Amino acid sequence: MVVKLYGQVTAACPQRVLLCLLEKDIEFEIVHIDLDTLEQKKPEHLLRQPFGQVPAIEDGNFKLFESRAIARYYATKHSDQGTNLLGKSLEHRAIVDQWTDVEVGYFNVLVHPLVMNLVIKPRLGEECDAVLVEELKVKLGVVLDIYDNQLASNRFLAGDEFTMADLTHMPAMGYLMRTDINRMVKDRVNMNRWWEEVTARPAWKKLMKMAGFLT
Amino acid sequence: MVLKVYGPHFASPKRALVTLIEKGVPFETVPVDLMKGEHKQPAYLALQPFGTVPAVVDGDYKIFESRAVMRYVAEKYRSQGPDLLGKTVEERGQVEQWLDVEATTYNPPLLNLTLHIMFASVMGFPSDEKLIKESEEKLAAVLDVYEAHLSKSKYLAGDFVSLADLAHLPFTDYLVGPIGKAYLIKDRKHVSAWWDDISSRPAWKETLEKYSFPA
Repeated sequence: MVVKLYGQVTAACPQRVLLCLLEKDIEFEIVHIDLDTLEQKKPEHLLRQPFGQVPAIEDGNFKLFESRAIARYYATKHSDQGTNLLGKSLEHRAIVDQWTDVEVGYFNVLVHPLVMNLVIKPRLGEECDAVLVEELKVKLGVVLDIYDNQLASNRFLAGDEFTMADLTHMPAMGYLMRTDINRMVKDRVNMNRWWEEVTARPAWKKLMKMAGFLT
Repeated sequence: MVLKVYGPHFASPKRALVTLIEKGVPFETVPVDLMKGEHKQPAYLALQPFGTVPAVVDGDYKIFESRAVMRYVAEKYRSQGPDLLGKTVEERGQVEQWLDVEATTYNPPLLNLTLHIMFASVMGFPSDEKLIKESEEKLAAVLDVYEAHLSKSKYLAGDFVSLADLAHLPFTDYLVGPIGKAYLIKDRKHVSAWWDDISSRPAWKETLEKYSFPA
């Protein structure tokens, strides 16, 4: 049975799941939920995701939402297929979980409003909050210094191998890198090295093609 | 060597503490004096580079992020105490889903209420009334979704208590106590019953008894 993913292929959270499925060679079908017309808030979608967000998956009778939970589920269920995303031991897995949780609490909390103001609002003809953007950039600089330091002595966030911890950052980072703020990553030696390496992965390139960001 | 949890008097570390107590795992705690800025000192930053609590040290092994610690403890001690991860991969998926909801959707507005109502004067920043009002509205909307869900499910991930339920304990304890908004919980029949159930668990009572902030 093919996994059905409800979402928009250009949106960061559905991309997180798609990237996991691509890394794990798991077949899927995308059912487009149109965010521009707020389809995610309509009754039909609320039955799948009661908070009115994307993505949600249906896999036979099994349903799940929250992109990181979905990615962890498939990474566990198909642990011996495709890329191993959850580390080689319990201790390693916990470090993978640690950096995946860092993405939620320290990275996304800054990058989401930055992308909203720099990319989404202009597209919708809304005003960007310039004061907020400057505040967020300062905070992001502090966080990226910590990441850069981690990547100075680790090839990937959780150690020598590409894991869920790296994957979970990539969709939002992709958006950030398409703005002027990309300098904040490019000017940090280790972050830049890491970003070039993770985006050279075939699964990422496939995803970017699917989303129309690469020809 | 016994596992050590840093910063037990604060809310986030209590996610780890309640899990350790539920699983009957021996541990020690190390106080961290946030008022004196101990969390910004090099010795602490070596354990937790973002300068927040908790940090956990288990022999040579270091881990931070309270929910990552919860998962680590629940998995390492799977065969003792209640199974907080569910019995199947699918049940674990549901646990991860609601654990992520807590992190991405429930806790952010609750954290705003915590900081601006409980800690603004102590931490020396002006309490933002507009943010308090918006955060309460956001949290109320989230709790409406919880109410509908808990009318069909005894606990968040199913008919078993899991990490997802426990993760809500520390900050919700603030909400019904010092934040002064117990009505948000009490006015919702199923959320209220769920709250009464999980907050009366012996492991949570022990956590509060031993590690509440000294008066």
